[in-house]
Amino acid sequence: MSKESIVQLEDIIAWKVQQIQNKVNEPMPLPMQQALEVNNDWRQELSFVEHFYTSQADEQRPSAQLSTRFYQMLNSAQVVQEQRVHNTKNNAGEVRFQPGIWQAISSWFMPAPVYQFAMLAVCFGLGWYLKPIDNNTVATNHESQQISALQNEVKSLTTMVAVSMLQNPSATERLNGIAYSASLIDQEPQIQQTLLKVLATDDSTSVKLAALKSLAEIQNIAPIADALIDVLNTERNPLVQINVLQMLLLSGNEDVYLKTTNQLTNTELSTEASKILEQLSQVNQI
Amino acid sequence: MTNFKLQKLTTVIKTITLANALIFSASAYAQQAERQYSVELSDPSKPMFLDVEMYMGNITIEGYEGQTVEIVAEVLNDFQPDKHKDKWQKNWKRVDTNKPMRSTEGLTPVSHTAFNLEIMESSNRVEIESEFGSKPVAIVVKVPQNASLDVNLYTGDSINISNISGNVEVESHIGNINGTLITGPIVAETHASDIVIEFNTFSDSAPSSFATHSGDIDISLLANTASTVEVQNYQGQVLSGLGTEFESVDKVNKKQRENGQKIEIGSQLQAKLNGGGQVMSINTYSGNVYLRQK
Repeated sequence: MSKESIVQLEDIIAWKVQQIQNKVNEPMPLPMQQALEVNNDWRQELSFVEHFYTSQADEQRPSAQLSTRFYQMLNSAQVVQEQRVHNTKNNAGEVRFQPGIWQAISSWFMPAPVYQFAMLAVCFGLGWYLKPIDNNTVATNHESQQISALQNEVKSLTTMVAVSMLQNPSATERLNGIAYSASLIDQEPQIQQTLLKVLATDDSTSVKLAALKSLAEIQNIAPIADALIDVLNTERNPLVQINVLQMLLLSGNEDVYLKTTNQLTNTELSTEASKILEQLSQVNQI
Repeated sequence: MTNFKLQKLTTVIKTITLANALIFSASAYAQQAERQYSVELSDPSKPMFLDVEMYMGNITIEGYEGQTVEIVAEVLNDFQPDKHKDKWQKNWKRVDTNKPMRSTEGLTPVSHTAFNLEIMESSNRVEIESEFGSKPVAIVVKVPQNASLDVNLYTGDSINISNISGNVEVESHIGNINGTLITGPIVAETHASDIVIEFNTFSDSAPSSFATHSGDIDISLLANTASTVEVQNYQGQVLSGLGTEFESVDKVNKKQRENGQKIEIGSQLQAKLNGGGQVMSINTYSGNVYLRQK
């Protein structure tokens, strides 16, 4: 038992394989032979290994002609395979460079990482650029409405304040009111009417002259021409009369001009105003 | 009754009482030529307003450091309306009665200095009135320097205002308007008399304006005054010692014309002193305009 334990089956198989491969020419060592003699299973196992290796070595090989044809066929198959791969690559290139619209659009959303990054950057930049514009557009519409409403409110408030100032007992305040309302004279009929009232009824010549100067800024004085001509019939101060005449005659409106020149026979006009009217009429006739 | 109504009633009673007392005083001491009155303001801590209406006489208003209104009234026995006769006759048609005087044999003229002057105070507003029919009166009124004034004189020698920093509105039909150490804003108007104003500083809180038909306008300004001076006159001269050139304001009318616009040249003279500022408007038909630099 001790000898058997010294000689292992794996050692016997390894020696046998070397023998079959002609790596060992010596006869099997005696201890291995003694172990085989006493162990039938080992002998069967070693017989199977010897048969396995000796049967593989004795396998019949193809002839040289058959091998040549085989390798020619293999080469032809490899060439065809390579051509298919090449054609596949070419076809794939044609699809890439001649995409359909949908494919082209789709390709925008499935770009290579570099293009994807570039596209992302562009989109980010575009969004950054357009976002304020869109917000501004929306905001502008909203703000323009607010601004318009505020402007109307400011205009109303300005008109209200101006009218209040024009009705103040203090001539200084009325002068201030005329200056204050100057920017709205062409937009606010209420201010025009208040100034006409000031012109017709105010006690101060300075205030009347300032009101006239402000009314002269109206682009089209035709609507207030009759009111101005009425002032000529009630006003006694030559300075005011002269300024009214100048404003009417130099308005550039033919109808107003004709109405004004009819005042040549107005006996309510002061000597100074009549003289000015006559001079201005002659100049315009020339 | 609410406190407000009580306060208002008290103010009215105070005003009526003061007016009656002053009228009574003026009548009772008619033979005395000069009267002095002192009026306390309702709230001396706030600016006051003085309103003077006088038919005939002279008015002098001076700003001072006090907080009351000090009034000195004097009958003008030597007031000679005749020295204004030329202006009266020039501008007004007087009724010529041609009525012969009745006999004055054995009669001597009685000198009287009775006059009617009303002084009222309510809520820091002081009104002084001397109506038609009263003897000509010269009044000198001292008011707090920051008082605002509204002064009207129909005929007299002059209205003299000095050392006032509040708003000034003054009108004289016959009689010059003289102002010294005026801050403004000021609105002054005469018919045929002169307006002579010497500004201390020029307020930019509101426009100042001067208007006269045939009187001269004489304005003195400090060299550093910033103002836009606008002058309009038709027959008089404009004489300026200000450092800034006057330019004709050319006005472009984009109105209903065949060619679209019309340009008025030289309708008004304008000078922007020290770059321009609050407007000072000067209007006269036949008077001269004098602009001086102090």
